[in-house]
Amino acid sequence: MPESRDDDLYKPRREGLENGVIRLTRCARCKVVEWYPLARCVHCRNEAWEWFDIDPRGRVHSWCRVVRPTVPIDGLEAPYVLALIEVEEAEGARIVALAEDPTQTPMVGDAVRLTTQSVAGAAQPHFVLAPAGS
Amino acid sequence: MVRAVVAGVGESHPVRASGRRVTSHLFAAIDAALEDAGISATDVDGVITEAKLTPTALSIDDLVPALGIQNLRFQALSSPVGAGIMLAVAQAHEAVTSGRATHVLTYFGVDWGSFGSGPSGIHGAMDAKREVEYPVGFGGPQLYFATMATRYAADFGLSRPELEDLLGGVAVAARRNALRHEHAQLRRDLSLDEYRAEEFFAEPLRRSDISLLSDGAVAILVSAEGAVRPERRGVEIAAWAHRVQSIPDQAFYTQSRDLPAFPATTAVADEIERTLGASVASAGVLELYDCFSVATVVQLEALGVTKPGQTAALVADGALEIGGERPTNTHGGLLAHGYLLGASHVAEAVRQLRHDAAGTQVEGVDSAFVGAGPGRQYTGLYLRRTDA
Ligand SMILES: [Zn+2]
Repeated sequence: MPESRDDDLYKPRREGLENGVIRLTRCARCKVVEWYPLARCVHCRNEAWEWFDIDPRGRVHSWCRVVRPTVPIDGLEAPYVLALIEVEEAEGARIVALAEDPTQTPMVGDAVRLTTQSVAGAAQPHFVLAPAGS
Repeated sequence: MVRAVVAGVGESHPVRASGRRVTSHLFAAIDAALEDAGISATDVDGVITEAKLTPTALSIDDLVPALGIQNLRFQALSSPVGAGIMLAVAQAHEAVTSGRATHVLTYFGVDWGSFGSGPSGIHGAMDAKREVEYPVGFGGPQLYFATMATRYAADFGLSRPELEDLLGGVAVAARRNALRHEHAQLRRDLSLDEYRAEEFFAEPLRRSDISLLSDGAVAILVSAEGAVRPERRGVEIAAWAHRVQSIPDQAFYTQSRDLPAFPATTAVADEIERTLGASVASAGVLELYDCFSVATVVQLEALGVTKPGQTAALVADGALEIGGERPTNTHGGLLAHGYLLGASHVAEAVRQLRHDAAGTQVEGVDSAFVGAGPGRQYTGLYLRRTDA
């Protein structure tokens, strides 16, 4: 995985999303996950971060249903549901994701699968509730 | 050590849209504070202000010649926004007690009601938020506090109607208190039924759970006791504390593993109790940074005023209203008095302790706690009458 460059830190993330994978940052030396990336790794003092693909399974930390959008997004019609998805494999880092089905009401703790879907012409993290027992 | 007192309070009261620039509000508030203290600008020898918004609104460099301050010997920027407004007042106290300055001016104002992008503008300028959060519509503090409220309800087993009553109760109390304050921006009563009938902005938050947008300013002058007239020696900062959680600002609301708890706020309460020998809960009035109704709830709990998950009972009794057992945000707070990011909270606390509040007086009060964050950073001021 390429190391991030200061001038466009998030480029590998965007490229991953276009290919259906969600990427987060970890320390390039000691591999501790840090999301969002810090100025320096607190554990080993390394200043370089690398991107890695996450396992798309997670749980709902919390959620909200946006009726009056606070930022206008082309083609994203309110109401929509946003959730913070906690990814255990990524040391509990949380992904901000849109519900694929905006009529669903998630519950805190629900198991979900992360996906990518297009929003305003770019792939972005989404989630679907995982079937019970999966 | 010199004894420091809060000698001057000046306000340009909050309004929705004044059409006036922030500098106009700031100078009005500063002039009023100096007049209130009975000193002139040439007596001021220290200036401290909030670190993020104020340097571009009215820098200390621009303020000093405009006021004609001739003998500035102490200046500082504190920390960003609400907690920084409180921290500036605390640092003014330190500058005076250490003898570094005699009259220290602090000031804060906004014109977001007329001109700015408001808090969303601040948050949109952070790169992770711009790259990761905004493209999916997760924009700004309203959604952070909406998700926080939902997580709070889940952690403590509150049903949706119970959460609604809790948040609605906070919103109603703010409006009832503002109704009595002659300079509050939103003086219109709200019943719990009216609250429940409002549509969601970001479920579970409604219009009345969300702070106002305002123009206005506040200036607070902290002085050496012996340098002001006797009737302005009545209020002091008995204790203060500041804490910062070790997480970047842009990551806090999505990534803090402690949410919906606020460790910095709890640490401030602990330090105040340790240094003062009295708890935050001992204060006669509480003025808490209520950017959203749920912020009042989590702060009451983080400060140890209520037990975690147990604030609903207090709120249901109307305890937060003037005349209730726990008067909180007696001026109406950010929800109903005006959105000056906590600066008005300090002014209200000082007026309460002078027994000179504008329609909102809590009888016989002799101590007040003022706090702002709540989030990654928090600052608390415990104010007291000097005759208490
Ligand atoms: Zn490392």
